[in-house]
Amino acid sequence: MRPVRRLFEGLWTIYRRELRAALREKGIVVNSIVIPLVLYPFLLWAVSTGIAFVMGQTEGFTSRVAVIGAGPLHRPFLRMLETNHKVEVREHLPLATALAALRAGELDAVVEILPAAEGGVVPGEFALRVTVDEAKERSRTARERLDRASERYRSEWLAREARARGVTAADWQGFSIRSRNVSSAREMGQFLLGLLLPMLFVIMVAVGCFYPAVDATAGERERNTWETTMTLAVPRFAVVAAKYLSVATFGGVAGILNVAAMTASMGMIFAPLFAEGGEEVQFRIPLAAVPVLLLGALLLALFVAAGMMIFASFARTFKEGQSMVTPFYLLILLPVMFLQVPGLEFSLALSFVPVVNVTMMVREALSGSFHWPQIGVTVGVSAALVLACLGLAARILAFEDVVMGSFGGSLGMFVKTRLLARRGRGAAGEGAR
Amino acid sequence: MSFDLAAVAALYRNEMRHLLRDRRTIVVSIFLPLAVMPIMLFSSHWLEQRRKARLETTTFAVAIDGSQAEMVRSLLVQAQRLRTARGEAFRFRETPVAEPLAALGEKRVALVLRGVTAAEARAAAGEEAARRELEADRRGEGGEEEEREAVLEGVPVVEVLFRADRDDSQAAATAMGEVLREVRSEGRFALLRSAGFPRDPATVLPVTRDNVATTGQVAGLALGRLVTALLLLFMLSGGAVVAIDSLAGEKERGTLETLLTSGARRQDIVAAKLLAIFSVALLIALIQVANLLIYVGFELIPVPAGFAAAVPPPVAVLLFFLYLPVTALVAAGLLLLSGYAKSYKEAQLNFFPVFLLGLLPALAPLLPGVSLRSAVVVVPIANAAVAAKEILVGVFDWPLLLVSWVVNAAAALLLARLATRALSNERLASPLAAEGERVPGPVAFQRQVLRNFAVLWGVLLVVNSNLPASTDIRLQLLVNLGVIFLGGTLAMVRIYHLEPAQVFALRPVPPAVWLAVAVGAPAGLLTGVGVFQLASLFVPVPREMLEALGEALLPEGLPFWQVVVFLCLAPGIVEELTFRGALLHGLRRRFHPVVLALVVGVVFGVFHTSLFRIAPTAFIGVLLAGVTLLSGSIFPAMVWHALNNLLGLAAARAGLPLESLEPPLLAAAAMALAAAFWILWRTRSVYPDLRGERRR
Amino acid sequence: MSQPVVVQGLTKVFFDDARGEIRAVDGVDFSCQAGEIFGLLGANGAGKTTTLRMIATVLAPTAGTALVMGHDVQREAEQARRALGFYSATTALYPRLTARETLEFFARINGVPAAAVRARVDELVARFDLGEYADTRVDKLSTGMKQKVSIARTLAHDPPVLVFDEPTVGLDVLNALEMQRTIRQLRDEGKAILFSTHIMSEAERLCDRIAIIHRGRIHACDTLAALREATGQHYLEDIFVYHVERAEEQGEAGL
Repeated sequence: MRPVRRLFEGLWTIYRRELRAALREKGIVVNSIVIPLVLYPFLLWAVSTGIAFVMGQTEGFTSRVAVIGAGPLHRPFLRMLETNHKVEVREHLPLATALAALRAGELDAVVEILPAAEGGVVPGEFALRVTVDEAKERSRTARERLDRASERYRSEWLAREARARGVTAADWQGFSIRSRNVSSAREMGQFLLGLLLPMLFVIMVAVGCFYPAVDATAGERERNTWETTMTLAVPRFAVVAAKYLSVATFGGVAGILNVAAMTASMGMIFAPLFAEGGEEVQFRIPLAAVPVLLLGALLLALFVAAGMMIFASFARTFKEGQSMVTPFYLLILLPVMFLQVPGLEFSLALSFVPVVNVTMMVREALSGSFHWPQIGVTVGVSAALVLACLGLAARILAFEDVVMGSFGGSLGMFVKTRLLARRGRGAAGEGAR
Repeated sequence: MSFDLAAVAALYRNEMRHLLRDRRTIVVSIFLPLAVMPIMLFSSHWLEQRRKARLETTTFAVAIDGSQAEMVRSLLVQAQRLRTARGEAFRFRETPVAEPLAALGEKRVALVLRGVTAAEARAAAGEEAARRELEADRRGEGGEEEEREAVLEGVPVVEVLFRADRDDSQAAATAMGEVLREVRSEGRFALLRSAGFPRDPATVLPVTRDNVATTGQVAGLALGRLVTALLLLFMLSGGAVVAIDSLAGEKERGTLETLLTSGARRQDIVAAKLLAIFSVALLIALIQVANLLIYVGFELIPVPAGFAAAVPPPVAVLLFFLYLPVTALVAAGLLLLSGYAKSYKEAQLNFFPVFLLGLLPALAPLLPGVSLRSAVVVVPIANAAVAAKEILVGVFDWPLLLVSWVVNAAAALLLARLATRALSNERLASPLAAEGERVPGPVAFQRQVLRNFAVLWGVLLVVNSNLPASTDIRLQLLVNLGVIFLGGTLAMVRIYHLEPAQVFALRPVPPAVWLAVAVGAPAGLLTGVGVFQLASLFVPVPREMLEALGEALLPEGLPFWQVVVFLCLAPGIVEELTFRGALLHGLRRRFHPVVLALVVGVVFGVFHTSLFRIAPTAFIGVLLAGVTLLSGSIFPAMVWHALNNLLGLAAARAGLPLESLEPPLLAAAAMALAAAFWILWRTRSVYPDLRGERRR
Repeated sequence: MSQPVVVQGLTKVFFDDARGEIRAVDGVDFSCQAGEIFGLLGANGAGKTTTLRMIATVLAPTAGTALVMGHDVQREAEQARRALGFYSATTALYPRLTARETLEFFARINGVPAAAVRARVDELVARFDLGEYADTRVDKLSTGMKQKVSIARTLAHDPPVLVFDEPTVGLDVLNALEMQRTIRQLRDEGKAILFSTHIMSEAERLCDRIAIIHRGRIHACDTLAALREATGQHYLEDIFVYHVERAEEQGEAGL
């Protein structure tokens, strides 16, 4: 019992020391707190300002449309264009000039009014040819407006014809269609959060673990405090575990802080966008989701910290450590970024994939669904991976030259020469524990 | 600034040699991204395919209820018949459920179709529709949008109930809308035919569409939106590795001191390092472009038609030149980041925000309707991004392309100069900086004041964006002014052990000053309107915003005395204490007095976060700062501020238009303002302890 | 021709949040002749490093002047730097360059004409016996070799003035003695050498004149013999303590 107790006491002491030392480093604290607090609001403010700016630029811009071949019959159509569809009609231009102006960006569309096709000409009918420049946004908008206008004109025209032939308004209408979104503002908010937040979450935890992980291993070697630490009267494993836990703590806390700051600031962009539709979207993380979020932070931080520290434990300088950890970092981020497809179900199969399972778990929690089997598997798989990493770390520490920093290679080389070759050649270099 | 080219060359060669021998860094910063890009492209393509396929093959479960359910069913049957006759799939299936809406919530159905009579529909939608229409009227919207389907007497209504927070439900709703409209059109055409319409109604008013843009140009639009952001992404992440090592890393290793004590000049050292980072960034960009072209050229990834044609060689060359100063700007920015960090780790920690801030302007072309011919042209990076998009769609606005090139080059030069200054800043260049336990005091306050105000700004934004829009303006003001501004300021006084009387400049003033205030406040208000007019030439204000602003400033139904207290006195006192008090005091030694007034004014403007209010607010802020500096006391500024707000509100209440003024009136106001400041100058008792008074 | 190094009234004031104004160097005067080793002797924090860094143009003086070969360190910083070679335990070498490349680089940026660089580097390699290691990367060299390369790069441009800031810190006995021998040689070649240390034996052995610096001020500046006479003490340690104690008394008396 005593050795285990010693292990835990030693671990706790060193863990506390690590945290205290890091918190004293003003740079880190400032960055971890100030940056989310200022950066996200600023970014989102910049985006919403950009949107406001664009709105100002484009508001009321009418589409400049040249109409060719309009006669007295077509006045109602042109009037409709101008009053209802923000179109500025320009007439009396030859076709070639109009097309040239379209290409140069001086016009947004060219409409030719042509006589109707043969075969039972109905009085008052005509055909349209609409020419636009699909590469220009204004022109595309013009096309959309013209499409809507012609659609409306056509249906009004047909309705008039029907009425003239004795069809009643009710019969003509047939039935009305009304679409309605029945999800509440909260649910909409949760949906949007669920799209962005899980990915952000993983990124922030990874970023939050990155520097502490490299600093705790390679950084210490560079500062030459590694030896001091290694010669403490505590089991070596306790030292490593304490460092590991402190890195995981930082990663988890950073992830949560950043995500909270992001959520709090998101209202800035989305609220005005949705207010147009008369809805007010709320961004609140449902209370029931918070424990799952914390669990997710914990699992993710533990896994990411473990992986990063293993990669970085071979580095002798901070910069080397960074280069060594980056591949792992990308490995984590890539799947997350691409599995952000809405509608992807959190299946049992998916819950076996590390990192992705935590992301899905968080996303589901944000929309209020809790799939217990998948959550269980996620916890299990993550825990298993963490233990595996710790086991690997213990193996690594058995080799003195790695511990003392004179092993000049990377994780790959280590695995090749020490772990695999061991079977053939015997335990060369297995040193003090 | 002159350069010794031989020295720069020697330094540059040294940098590059040292860099190229660090194999691991090269792998990580150049070759790893090479692998990342195709993975990104493939994955996003594959996902998109999967998603489309899923939606195209699913059959949506639909629940039907309502008094007219039978009618709805028959509509669906007709729709199915129509589709099958055309050989297309009909992707809906009715699922019988007890509680349709609950089933929708539980994902057992994707859609609920409710057939109701006109009367029922009107009753059910009554309240909501009334509200919506009220909103629409208020915003002055009119017939541009899709016609709201009228509810006629005796005509049944099909309500399509869906959930927008679900992909499948949203897709089902859109598809169902199409299907229903098809059925209705068919019905109408049948009616017309039976009523003797001479032709197939579907062929009435045909519209043919034509396009003058080449496929290359259309592809160019898609490419142009993203190309700058992608390039910047790679340049920043790759360049950072080199840049951070270049100054911060050398500082830690001690080789920077060796350089600084050699015969090389600071500007040569910076120039060489800048060139090194620039070379790397350029190389990375070129490699990634080549990488992309290989994948596109060999059609390893499917891209929209004409992609390859989007960038003919002359355009490519033009883009290359366009991006040169952007690359230089990125390099200079990264070097600056590295120069001001005290250690490698600190530089790395600061990189993430710099990365985001650098990437953000590159997203400008994603905003619809942004063109180079606007205020965007003076925003570095954003101007290049928008220019690139325009070039790729065939618009060559040569004068403005030149302007944006110059803006970026100038920004790069500015940052490079700041980086040079970082090298001369001894605390950073020498390992001697004593980092003891820092006890916060007045000196620390001066150093940290801007940062604290940045945090305050962040808090203000966050709190305001989370307050529901319907919050009482008095509560909003109480929170903003009372809690955030006043609370933050008092917290600073407490933490940094400051002297309130000094910080807040609570000093008496001679009577003549009040005369100046009485003249200056209205003059300043009117001149401010002129500033607003000037600003809206560059940044036009949308009409909706103007109205919203007006409403916010003049809430209805509030008794006048409350307006005075909440909108004049409270801001006048609290905002002065915060900005012309704490902020001014904190920055007084950092800038020369004129620059100080400008900085305080601009910060004040930025705190009024709406884009369109920044310029006029900053203007008033500068005036108020000037008043405080000249009189050495905060009281005149407080009264001026309160008076300014009061006059503005009174004018609004009285219906006087203060949005635009005639030039003669503006000129008179400007002269009155000048007179007020003349009085202040004559009776000045300058704010103590400013920069320019040497402490020695 | 005035002396290679002339320092008058040199002062450096730092501002620390907690402690307020710190006068790290407070009105220091001295000069150094060609062919002389001038030593700054003082405890840690006395102001030696700050003084030397001001002369090396790394720090800007708050007041006073320093002239290196007639060039003012503030107004003609570049020329001052070209006339001096700075060596400190903290100035490091680029790890991935070879010894030869390091020497070439520093020769070039310190103003050695391009045509003369190769010859100069060969000279240095020969002098410091770098021979076999000339083309090995610096990070693969032993401490002793690195030290030699460091000194060589200080001399790359053959400056008339040399500044050594606690050069033997962290060196073992043999390497330290080697360093001292080199410095003596350089003095014999006619260089003006500024040397700082807190190790008494070193100062005794090397310096022609010694300045005792304490709390930013010089309290004594003379040859060892003269110092002995003035204080009546024999060992430099005792001389040092004598002056420091007197300085403390004077300080308390408010001078």
